[in-house]
Amino acid sequence: MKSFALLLNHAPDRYQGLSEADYMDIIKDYVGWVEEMTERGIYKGGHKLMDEAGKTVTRVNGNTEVHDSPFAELAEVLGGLMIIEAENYDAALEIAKSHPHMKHNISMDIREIHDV
Amino acid sequence: MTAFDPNRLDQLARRERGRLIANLVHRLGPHRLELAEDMVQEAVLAAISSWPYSGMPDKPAAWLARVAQNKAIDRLRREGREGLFEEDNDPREQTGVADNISDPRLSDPELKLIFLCCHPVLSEQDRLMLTLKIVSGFTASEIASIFLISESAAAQRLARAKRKLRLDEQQLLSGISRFEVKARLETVLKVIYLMFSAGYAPRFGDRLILKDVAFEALRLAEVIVADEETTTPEAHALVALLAFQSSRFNARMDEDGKLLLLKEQNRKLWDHKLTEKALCHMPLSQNGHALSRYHIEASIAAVHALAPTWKQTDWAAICALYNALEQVADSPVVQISYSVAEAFGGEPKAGLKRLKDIPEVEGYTPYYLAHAEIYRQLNNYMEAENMLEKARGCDASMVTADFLMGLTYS
Repeated sequence: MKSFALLLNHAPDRYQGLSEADYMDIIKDYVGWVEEMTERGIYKGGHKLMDEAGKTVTRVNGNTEVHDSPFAELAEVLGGLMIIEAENYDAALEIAKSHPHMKHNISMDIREIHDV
Repeated sequence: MTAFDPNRLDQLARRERGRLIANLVHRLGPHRLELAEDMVQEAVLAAISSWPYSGMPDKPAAWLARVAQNKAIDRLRREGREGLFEEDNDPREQTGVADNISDPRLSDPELKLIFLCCHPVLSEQDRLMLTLKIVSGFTASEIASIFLISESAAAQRLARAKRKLRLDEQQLLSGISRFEVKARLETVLKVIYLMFSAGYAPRFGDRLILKDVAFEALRLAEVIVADEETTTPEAHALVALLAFQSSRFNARMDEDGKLLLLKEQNRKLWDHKLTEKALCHMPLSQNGHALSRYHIEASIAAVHALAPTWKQTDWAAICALYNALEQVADSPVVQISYSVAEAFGGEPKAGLKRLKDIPEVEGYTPYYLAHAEIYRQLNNYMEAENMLEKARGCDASMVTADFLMGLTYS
């Protein structure tokens, strides 16, 4: 079994202006998927990132600089990450495609975790 | 594998909100109702933000309680008021009233919250809306759909009601005395009765929400009778009434959602567990001297529930009960139901006379339907059709809370 990280992107304003009922419907899809994948032993954990803009730390000319992330200008930002287990990349991709994130948002990145 | 039930989240958020707020208000004091409400809302938001990643915790209710409490502590600490959130810092101790015999005030957090929402400074409809919102956890948009008003109107009304409550801060702080519990209980029962009516009355609206409202009213009535500080024979009568009515919930509509009259209902679909519950509360309602409208209405419901078929309904008993009801709580609606009972009992002429004696209840479908039924029995088909036509012209959406005030069932 290999581990994969799903990096879930969404538009910064994706959930703004939704009614509570609409928002709940989206949440239910996500929770349902996580519960199902946990039952099947595929889902290993995940974290939601705060919706507010983060910080970027960069090294410029040997100095460390800290900036607010240019959040609003980005079409999509990383909203959270999840860890799943799968036989190989293809299987992981199939699992990723079944994720309700792909119904309610536009993209996610998928990366194999380097197990040594 | 237990399949994920999406409704679990909705129900959890709704059911738990009231309990979480009640516990926080219990510890923070009733003047911090809004803080408690805000913190519980934040806990729910935290849940819907993190559960999609973590999955639902094993004990979601405990998770929400912990997060809401931590957020409240954080908030008060930031305001430099953490002292107000000590386990032993019960606001009632600040009043200096000796309570050496037994505490004269309500101890159950949920009961306290119900009585707070039914405060006498509020109008009847405000009490009902606030109870639905704070005790029962319905959202402003659900409340808007229950009362057929816009969401912003519902939100404004709720905010205004809470402002009114705050004006009475000193009094809120001292808690509710045993005397006030007695005095306010009648109001609380009325609010529960109206809540049930709002959910049970056949009308437009989200049927699932309306059903939740009706069953929530039954639950609250049971909370009242379960505590020795608030239980009364009258409250038992209300539980019996609501349980009898609820037992017919699933039989009231056919498969297409068309409303079925009592006469047309399949009695096998009645929920006998609820009928039994009602029957258990009937004797408990007779432990006193007072005869309330709830006693009489529950008795009418009992006669229907115990009739094996429509034909075997004891109309003489029902008419006698309506006769008692008109002396306790008369209204045009009571008279309309009474007239129909008389007609089914073989006295359509008496029923018609009764209808003629009340002023026309314009726009009220049952008023015209009662006429139509009685004219049909008197073989006056032209008038019957005329009245049916008027009934069809009624706007079902005009059933609002104000209008439900006098509603009774038959």
